[in-house]
Amino acid sequence: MATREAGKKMIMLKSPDGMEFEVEEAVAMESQTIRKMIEDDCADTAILIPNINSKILSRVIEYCNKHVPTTGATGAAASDTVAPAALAEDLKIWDAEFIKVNRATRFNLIQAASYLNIKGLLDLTSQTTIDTISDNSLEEIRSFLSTKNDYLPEEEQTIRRENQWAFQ
Amino acid sequence: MEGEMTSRSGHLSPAAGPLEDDNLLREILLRLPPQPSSLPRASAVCKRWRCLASDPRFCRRFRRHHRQNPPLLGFFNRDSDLFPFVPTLEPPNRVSPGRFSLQRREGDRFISLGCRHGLVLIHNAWPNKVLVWDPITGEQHHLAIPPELVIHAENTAINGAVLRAAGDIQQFHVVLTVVDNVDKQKQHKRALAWLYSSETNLWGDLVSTPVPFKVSTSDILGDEDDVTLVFMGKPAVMVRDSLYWILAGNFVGILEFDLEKQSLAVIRVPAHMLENGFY
Repeated sequence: MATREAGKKMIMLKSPDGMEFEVEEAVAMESQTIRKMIEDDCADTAILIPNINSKILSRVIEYCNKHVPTTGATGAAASDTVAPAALAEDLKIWDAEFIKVNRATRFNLIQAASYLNIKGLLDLTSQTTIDTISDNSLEEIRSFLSTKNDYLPEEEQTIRRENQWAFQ
Repeated sequence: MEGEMTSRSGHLSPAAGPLEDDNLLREILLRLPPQPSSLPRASAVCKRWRCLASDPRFCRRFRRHHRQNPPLLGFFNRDSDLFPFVPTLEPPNRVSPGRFSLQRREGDRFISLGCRHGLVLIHNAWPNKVLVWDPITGEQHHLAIPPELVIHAENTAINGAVLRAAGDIQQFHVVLTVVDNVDKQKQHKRALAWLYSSETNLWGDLVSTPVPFKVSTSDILGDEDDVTLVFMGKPAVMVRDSLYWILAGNFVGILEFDLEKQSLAVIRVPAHMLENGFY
């Protein structure tokens, strides 16, 4: 069992491309999937995370590091001196910077967040995707998300007619 | 020992983008704005999107996800017999009034008792039932009114309110209330109320409280002056865990139903405060 400074328990996360990341257990437990493994005692020394490459996994760990709740004595200076509202505002600004990534990376992060069950990261990545398309026309949405329109023209007309008010 | 994770969804494919994975696409579509045009528009993108966005389970999740900030789509005009829906949002979120029209059967006599938490409460005076209607899903719940209330409902207008517990999108509660004007001993007037819970599908026990009675100074006015009503002109107001109605007629004041304690109380108001249409 790996332990380091101030008795914090450490966990090893391994990506399929052979990289190893040593993280505090509390940080790893931001992922509900990993939390369950730890609580079920299936994760003594290292956890292999399939399908999430080291580049994405390091970003996920970066996110969890920032979002792990700080604990009074050992959790740096943050929670004691800064008001909760200011802390939330700081996190929001940090999130906005964090998610400034290209589309492929963002999609990978969505997959990782869903797979590792990290609600905050799933909210952030999915919401950002939706925000980029919600003001666009259907044609723009399809082109932006590389989604093919598989309706026949008359089928699409029928669907539009069903809720005509929504297309005005 | 080294742990290895197994796929939660069972078909995680690193090559496919999240838009090809139904579970992930669902997560993304869930975060569309709660505006009424969101899902109809998403449905027009392609067949797969339509399949996901029109799935009733997804629609319930969508509502639950946005339950903290639902948009106000419009209102029902209860002054009109058909209480038509009046949309208040701008296009493309201006829901057509026809989307929220309530079908009536022969003989139905609908009286609106107000809306709350996305539900409409209607007293159907014939066949003396209450109807809880969810205009978004179209769900209708027809409730037989409590047997002890039937005798009053035939003589006086009944009032009520519908509500959901905070954050709940499934269960609902109904409160019906009336002032007992049937009792011959008119000095012993009582306000009565019943609470219905959809979880148990039962009406709770009768709750009552005395209503003050003012002896008429003139005989000319007759019996009508003896009657106190839960005023129908205004729907109930909900403040924290209590509902409030106006009492009008012989006694003028406010009736309070505490949902937490399930108790009724009469609140006196300064003279003339509720008179002459100052409601």
